[in-house]
Amino acid sequence: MEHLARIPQDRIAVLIGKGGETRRMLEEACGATLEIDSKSGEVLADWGEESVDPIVRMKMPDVIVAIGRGLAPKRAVQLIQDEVSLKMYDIREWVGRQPNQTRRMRSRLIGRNGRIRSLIEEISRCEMAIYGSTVLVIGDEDGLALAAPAIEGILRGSEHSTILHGLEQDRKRQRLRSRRLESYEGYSTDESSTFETLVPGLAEARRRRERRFKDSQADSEDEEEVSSMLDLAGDEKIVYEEE
Amino acid sequence: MSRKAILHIFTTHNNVLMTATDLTGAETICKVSGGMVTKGGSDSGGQFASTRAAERMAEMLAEKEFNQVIVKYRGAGGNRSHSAPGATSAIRALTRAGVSITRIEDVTPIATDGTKSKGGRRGRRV
Repeated sequence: MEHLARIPQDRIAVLIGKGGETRRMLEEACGATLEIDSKSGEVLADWGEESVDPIVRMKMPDVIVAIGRGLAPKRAVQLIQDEVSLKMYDIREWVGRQPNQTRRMRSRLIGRNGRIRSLIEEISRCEMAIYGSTVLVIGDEDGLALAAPAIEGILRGSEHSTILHGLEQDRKRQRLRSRRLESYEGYSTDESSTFETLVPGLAEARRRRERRFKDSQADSEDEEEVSSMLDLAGDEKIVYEEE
Repeated sequence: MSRKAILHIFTTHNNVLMTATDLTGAETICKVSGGMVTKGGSDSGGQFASTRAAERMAEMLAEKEFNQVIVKYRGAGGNRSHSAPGATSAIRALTRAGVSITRIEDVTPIATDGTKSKGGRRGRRV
């Protein structure tokens, strides 16, 4: 039994679902049996005997926390994927503990008819959940890099127009950068084939150097190995000359 | 014989540091950093670098005949990011390279008496 997370009372029902539907879906996704204490809200996982993917094991607490902080279970399961990660903000850290203030910030983040939230979600391809005094975003690395400054800006008190303008700018910049990175990676992977064909003899020289390096790793105790190392290969020779 | 090592992964936005030690944690077996596997200075954090570093680390461990690892990963800690982006991709690359992982632990240092972002009440004044 491994302790995963503790969720608020009113989210327990969501975690279990109608007739245990959601819970079954989660168990299928992670390959463990979940045990939910409906009094305290503790969620435990039994991983069984066979070995599971260590990454799923590592990310499962995040999934439960996300459901506990207001994200729909169907969206939260995305977190099991490798590249999706979670970021959580506590509104109270920005505006203090007064309920009026957290309420104001929640409204600012959601916007009229959810306009601001849906814009942030659309541009950064993230999912947002605003619940109680927390804001939770899940998305891939690029998406979070877009959404995080926007959310922080709103919490800091920037005007909505500034944030939306900045989001647009960031998106443009990121698109440019991703294009450049791809070309860079493509270049570095087939470097050996292009560069070595351009310079005659370079591939051969590199092979010779690698072989010599490998040979020099011989065990000094083993006489046979040492003597074989001292033998010259077909394309090597020693030249003596006077200076 | 299967030999076990502890693999410490420290991921930040700017770099990835991986150190494999023996089970006491006092003797370093080998280490790799993001800067060793990428060219650009700003590329040495992030997923690409951590994947490459993990591959290199798996190679080195195989050479020294370690086939089991306990992973202890950490992020910058405090009020900064709790689990930085590279950790999952590094672990994924390790499993792909055939290293068997017995346990994963998050050892991000977080103060128990609360964290607070820097800047103070009136924010950063430029």
